[in-house]
Amino acid sequence: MTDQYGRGLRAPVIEILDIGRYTIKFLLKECHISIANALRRIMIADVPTMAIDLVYINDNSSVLHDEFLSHRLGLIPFKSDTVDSYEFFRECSCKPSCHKCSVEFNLRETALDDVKDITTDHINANNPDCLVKPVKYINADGNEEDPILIVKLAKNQKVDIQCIVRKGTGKEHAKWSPVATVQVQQMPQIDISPSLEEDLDTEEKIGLVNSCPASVYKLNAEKQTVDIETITDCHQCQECTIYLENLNKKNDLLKVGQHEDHFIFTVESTGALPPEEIVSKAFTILIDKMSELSQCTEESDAKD
Amino acid sequence: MNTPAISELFSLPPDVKKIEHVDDTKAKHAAKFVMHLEDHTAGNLLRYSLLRNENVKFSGYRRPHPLENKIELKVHTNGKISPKEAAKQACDNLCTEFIKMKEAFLMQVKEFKGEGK
Repeated sequence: MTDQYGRGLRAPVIEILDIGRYTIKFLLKECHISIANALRRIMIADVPTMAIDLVYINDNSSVLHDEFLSHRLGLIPFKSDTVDSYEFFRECSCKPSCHKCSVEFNLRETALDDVKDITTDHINANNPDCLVKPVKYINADGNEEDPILIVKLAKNQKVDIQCIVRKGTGKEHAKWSPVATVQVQQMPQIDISPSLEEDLDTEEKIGLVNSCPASVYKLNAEKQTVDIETITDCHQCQECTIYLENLNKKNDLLKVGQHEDHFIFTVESTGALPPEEIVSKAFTILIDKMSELSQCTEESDAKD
Repeated sequence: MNTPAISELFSLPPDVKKIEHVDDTKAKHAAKFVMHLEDHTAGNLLRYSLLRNENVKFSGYRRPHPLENKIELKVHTNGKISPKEAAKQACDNLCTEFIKMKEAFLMQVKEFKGEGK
């Protein structure tokens, strides 16, 4: 076996770049791509949240047909901080449904005089103390955003719907996925040769700095060197190397590539769970998965 | 029409074990592990973790069919340890690694939030 995979245990390093209300950005260093990818896949498909799973339509005279409405309801993100206190419906011992595995909501509205917007604000829990409820988004200024529009009712139209919210994972249906996207980017790596300083004149250096569409480089006017300002913005378009090639310079002045084991994660939450919670839950799920596999490997009997 | 039932994603029939261990008939110290209800997440992780073991000569995985929720992991060792031991070690190593990573992550989050305030 070649040594390209290394030996023994690794100790990946994590560095947080930013935590927002709905996003988290962090670096994962000294880590093989399989681990980064597993983390990404788990966050998308295996972290449980709550979502509307069952819809009883008692009355619907809106322009949207029943299935359309049910689908729209299913995709609404629900605040799922208490998701761990619920059971999966299929694992719960109850017969039709119980408070351990499901939460009931209702949506009963009639447009009396004018067009009425039915939004997530009209979804009411049968139990008012319930902590699971439709997400209310807060924008960058700290103000509450408009609720999600479900359907518009014309005069005298009516909806009377009963919804059952259940716990689930993105593996079964994307509505349960706690993330909008998980972006994994390999860290760009730019090697600037020390001889670049002498080989290029000031005009050429300015040209090199301006050749980058992502403004990664910056000219240090004092020392007459080209510095890297924002390496994370580099998308390896190679415009800088092409510029140097056109100048007919030696082609080893600048090398643009990427780190093999250095990743930038950007996790965007749907609002169901705080972003840092999604990542830490993903780790817990991976730990459980690995210890279960270890146990089962131990118990497996050899057969031919 | 022939969509598999969603329950197949989450539970096994009562007579099926989570991991089946099949010894290779043609080579010594080689075995195949059929892991039910697993996918590329675990498959790729284990393949890589096994390759980091100096006693493992070969390891690879495949998902035989996209509608069947199982993977096959093949392990070939040099004889100093059995494929089963190697696979168990790989799982344990990954487990410790993830525990460390989780701790590091939580610590970093705490630090970051502390700085913010």
